Amino acid sequence: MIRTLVRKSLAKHRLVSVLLAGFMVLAAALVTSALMLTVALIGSVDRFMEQAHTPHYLQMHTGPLDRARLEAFVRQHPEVVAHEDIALLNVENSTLSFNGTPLDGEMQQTGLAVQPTTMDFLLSEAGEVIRPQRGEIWVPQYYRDKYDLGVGQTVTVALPDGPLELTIAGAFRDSQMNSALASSKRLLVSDDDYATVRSALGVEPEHLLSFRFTDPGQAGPFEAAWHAAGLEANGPSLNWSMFRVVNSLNDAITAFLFTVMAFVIVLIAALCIRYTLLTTLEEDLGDIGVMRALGVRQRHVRSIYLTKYQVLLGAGSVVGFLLALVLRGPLLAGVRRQMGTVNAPVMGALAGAVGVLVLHLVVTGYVRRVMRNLRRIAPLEAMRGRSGLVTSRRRPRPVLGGRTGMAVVSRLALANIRRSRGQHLTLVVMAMLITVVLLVPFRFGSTFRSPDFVTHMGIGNYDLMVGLLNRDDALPVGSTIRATLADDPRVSRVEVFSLEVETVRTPDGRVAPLRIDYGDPAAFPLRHSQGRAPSTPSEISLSTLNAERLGVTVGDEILILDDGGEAPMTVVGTYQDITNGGKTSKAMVGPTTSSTPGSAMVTIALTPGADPGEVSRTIIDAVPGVQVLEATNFVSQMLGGLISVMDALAWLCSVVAVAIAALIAGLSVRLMQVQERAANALQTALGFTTAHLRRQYLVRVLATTVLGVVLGVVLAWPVGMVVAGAIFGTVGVSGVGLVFSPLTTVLGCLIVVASVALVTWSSTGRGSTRGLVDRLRT
Amino acid sequence: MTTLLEAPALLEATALLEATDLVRSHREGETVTTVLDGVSLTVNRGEFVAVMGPSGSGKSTLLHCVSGVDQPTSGTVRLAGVDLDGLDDDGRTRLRGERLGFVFQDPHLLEALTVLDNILLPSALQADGGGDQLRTRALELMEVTGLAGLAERGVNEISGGQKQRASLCRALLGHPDLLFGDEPTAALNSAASAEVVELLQHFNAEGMTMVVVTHDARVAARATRVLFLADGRVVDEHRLDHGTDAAAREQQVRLAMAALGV
Repeated sequence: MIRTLVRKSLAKHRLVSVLLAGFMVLAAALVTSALMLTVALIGSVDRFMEQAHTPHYLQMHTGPLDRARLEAFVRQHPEVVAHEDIALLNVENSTLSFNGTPLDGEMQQTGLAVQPTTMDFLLSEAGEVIRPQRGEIWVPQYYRDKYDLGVGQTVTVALPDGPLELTIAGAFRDSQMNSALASSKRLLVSDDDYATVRSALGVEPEHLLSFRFTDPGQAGPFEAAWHAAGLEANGPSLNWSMFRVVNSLNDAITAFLFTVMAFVIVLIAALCIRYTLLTTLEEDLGDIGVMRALGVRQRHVRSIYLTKYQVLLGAGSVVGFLLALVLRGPLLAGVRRQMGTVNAPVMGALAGAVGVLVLHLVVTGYVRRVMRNLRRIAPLEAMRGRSGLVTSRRRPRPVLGGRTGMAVVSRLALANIRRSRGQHLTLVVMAMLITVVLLVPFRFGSTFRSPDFVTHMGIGNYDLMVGLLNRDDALPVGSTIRATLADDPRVSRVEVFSLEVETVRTPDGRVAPLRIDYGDPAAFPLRHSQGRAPSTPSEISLSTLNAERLGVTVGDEILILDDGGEAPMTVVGTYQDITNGGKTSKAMVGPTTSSTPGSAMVTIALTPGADPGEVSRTIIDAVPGVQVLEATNFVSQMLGGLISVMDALAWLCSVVAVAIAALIAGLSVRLMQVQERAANALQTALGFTTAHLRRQYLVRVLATTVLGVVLGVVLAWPVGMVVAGAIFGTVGVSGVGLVFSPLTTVLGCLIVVASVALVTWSSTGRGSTRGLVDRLRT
Repeated sequence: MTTLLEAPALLEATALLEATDLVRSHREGETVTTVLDGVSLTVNRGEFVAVMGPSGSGKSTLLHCVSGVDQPTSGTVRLAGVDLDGLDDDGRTRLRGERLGFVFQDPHLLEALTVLDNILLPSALQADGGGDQLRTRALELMEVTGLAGLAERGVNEISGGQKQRASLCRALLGHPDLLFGDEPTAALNSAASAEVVELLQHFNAEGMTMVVVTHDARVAARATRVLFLADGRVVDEHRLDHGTDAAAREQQVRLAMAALGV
C-alpha cells in the first residue's frame, strides 16, 4: 500500500520530485568529486615531489658565486644530504618564439636549463627523467597548455649569429615552476644546445642553489644560517612547503569550491523539501485525517512520506555518486598529468561513497525533522481541512484603521506577514543569502579590474613598465628612456627605479641581503598595509615578507652596510608584494656603488587617450631589444586565470541565485496558497477579486524580499571581506577592500526582486474560485 | 434595538432575486450527478426566505448558484437587476462584494485580523474613502449584536457564537441588497443559536432581504416564506403568518418537515 501511495505522490508532484532528485544528484556528485580530488591530491603531490626530488630549500642568486665558501658552509651542515647549483640561463622573451610567434607579451621570465643531476628533476608525463638529444627541446606543461604546443613544433632562439631552431620533443612536469603563480618558466634542452646559447648570448646563468635535507623542516634554520653567514642571496628564496602549496593550489581551490557548492545546494534542497513537504501535508490533510481516524498509526502515516523522500533522495545520491565516478577522468586529469599518478583511486571512491552516505543521512534526517509536524495534526481537524501547522498565539494588531480600497489589501497582507512571521522570515533570509551570493563574486571582478588593485600587490598604478634586469647598462638605458619620453605629450610621468641588493643589519644584529628599489615612491604610490611610503632618504618601507624575515616593524631601524660604512634607515611602512617572491623594499635615493649587476625598472604613466602600443614602439625604437610591458597585460597575465574564474563564477552564481530565488518564491507562494485555501475562498466570496488576492501575495513576497535584499546588500560587505581575505590571500594580498559597483548592485537587486515578483504574479493568477464551494462548506 | 439599516423603499414588492430553471450537475467520469434540477425562485425586497430540505437535497448548491459563488449548468439568475450570466468571475466577485452579504456555517474569520478588522474588511475594500464612518458603524453594529468591547480581540479569543455574530456584522456593514445565510446556526449551541436567530429576525424587520439555508425549524420559523427542496427540486413552499406567535410558526414548519420526511 505504501508503495502505491508513494508512486501516486511522486506522480502528483512530478516537477518538484524531479527538482529535488536533481539537487541531490548535483550535491552527491560534487561531494564525491571533492573527496576524490582531495584524496587524490593528498598523496599524489607528495609522491610527485619525492619522485622529482624537489629541493627542500632553494636560494636563487644572480651574480658571482664563491663556490669554495659555499662548499665549506655545506660541510658545516650535516643535515644537507644533497645540494646542487642548478643553472638557469635567463633569456629575453623577445629572443624566443614558438612556431614563429615571438614570446614578446609573455609575463613569465623564461630560461633554458639542462637536466639537473641530483634533484629538481624535470620529468616526462610517464615519470621518466628526461635526457634531451641535441636539437630537442622540452617545454613545461604551462607553456604547452598556454600556447597549445605539440611534439614536432619548433622553438626558435634568436642568437646574434643566426637563429637556433629546436624541435619540441614533449612537455615536462616541473615540480618547482609549473604553476602560474611561479614567475619563471624553464625550457629543457641538451647540454650542447645550452652551451651554444650561453656562449652566443654571453650571459651568465642564474644560480638555483638547491638543497635537500634529512628532513624538509630543516629549511628554516638553514636559511637563517645561510643569511647569517653572508652567503650569496641576490634573489628570492623558496622552500619545500611553498612548492607543495603552489603545486596543489589549483586543485585544492577546485575541491574547496565543489564542497562549498555542494553545501549551498544541500541548503537549497533542504528549503525545497521543507516547502514541498509542508505543502504536501496540507494538500493531503483530508487523507491523513481519514487514515488517522481509521486507526492508522502516526508512525505508518509518517513512513509513507518518509519512504517517498528516501526513494527520491536515495536515487539522487546513487546517481550523483555514479555520475562523479563516470566523470572522474577529466576531473583527475589535471592531477594525473601534473603529478603523474593519482593516489589511491579506490580510496577516493570509498571516501566519496562515505561522503554521499553522510549527505543522504543528513538530508533524510532533516525530512524526519520536518515530519515531526505531523504530530501536530489532529485527525478530526485534518478531516475538516485544518492542519494547525500554521498557528499563531500572537494577538493580531488593528491594521485597517480608517483605510479603504486597495490600501485594505496591502494592510491585510502585512497582517498576514505578522501572523506567520517564521514563514516570511525564511523568505527574508533566502533573499538575503541570494543577494550576497549574487553580489560578492561580481564585486571580486570589479575589484580585480580596478586600476587600484595592483597597488595592493607591490605594483604601482602605471601604464607601461620596462624591466632592465641584470645588465650592466641598466641605469644608463633607464635614463635614455626617461630622456626619450621627457617631452612626449602622451606621457604624464616617467620614473626610473634602481633595483639593488644591499646587505643590511637588523636591530637584533643579524646580517641579511635586502633588495631595495630606489626611486621616488610617491611617483606610483603603493598601498601600505602599515605606515606609509618613505619621504626622506633615511626612510625605507618593506614588503610584508621582508619585514617578517628581518623581524622588524614600523618604527624600527635597520643599517645598510656599504663598503665598511653603515647608513641607518627607519622602517616607515610595510606593504604587500607579489613581485620578486614578495621580498622587496622601497627607498628614495640609493648608493651609487653596488657589487651586484645593475637592474632597473622604468615605469611610465600615460596621458588619457594615449595609445600604449605607440609609446612602446617609441621606446623600442630608442632602445632596441628592451621588453615593454603594458600594465593591463601585466595584470591579466598574472591574474587573468583568477579573473576569468571569478567572472565565470559570478555569472554562474547570478544565474543560479536568480533561479533559486524564483524557485523558492514559487514554492513558498504555493505553500501559502494551500495553507490559506479557506481564507482565500472566504475573501473571494466576500468580493476579493483575483487581482486583490494577487496583490496580497505580491505585497507579502515583495516586502520580505526587498527587506532581505537590503539586508543582503549590507551583509555582502563583511562576507565579501572574509571571502576576499581568503581568495586574495592565495595571491599574497591582504587588506583589499572590495570595490562597490552601484550599477551592479542595483541591477542585481532589481533582478532578484523582479524574478520573485514575476513568479509570484504568475503563480497567483488562476483559479481563485477553484474549490471555493468546497472550502465554504466546512 | 437601534435601527441601522437604511435601505430605501424596503417593502416594495419588487423582485430582488429571480432564478429560473436552475440546473446544476457534476460530471465525474461517466457519471453525471444532478444536484439542482430545474429550480426557480423569486425573492422580493424585504422577504426572509428559508430554504430547507434533507442533506443532499441541493439547498447549499441553490444558495451558491443564486449568490454567484457557483455557476449553474443551465438556467438564469437575475440579482438586483443584474444578469449573473453576463458577468465573468471577477464581475460576479465584485457584485458579491458590493451588493451581497454572507453568513456561513463556519464564520470564517481571518486569524490575522482583530474582530473589528474582520468586520470592516469587505466593506472597507469596496469603499472609496469614508473609512472612519464605516468604523463607527461597525462599532455600532457590534454594540447591537452584543460584541461591544471585543473590537481589538483576536478571533481565537472569542466564542463560537460571538464569531458568528461578528460574521453577521461583517455581512451587514456594507448595506447589502440581500443577505445569504448558509446554515448560520448549525455550528452553534442552542443559546448562541437563539441569539443569532433573534438578530436575523431583527435585521429582517428593519428591511434586510434574506435567503437562509437551514435545518433548524427555529430559524425557519422567523422567515416569511419557507421553501422545501428534495432531490434538487422545490417540493413544497409555505408562507408563514407573522400574525401568529413564533411557537405556532415553528410548529407549522415542523409539521411541513415531518410531512416531507425532513
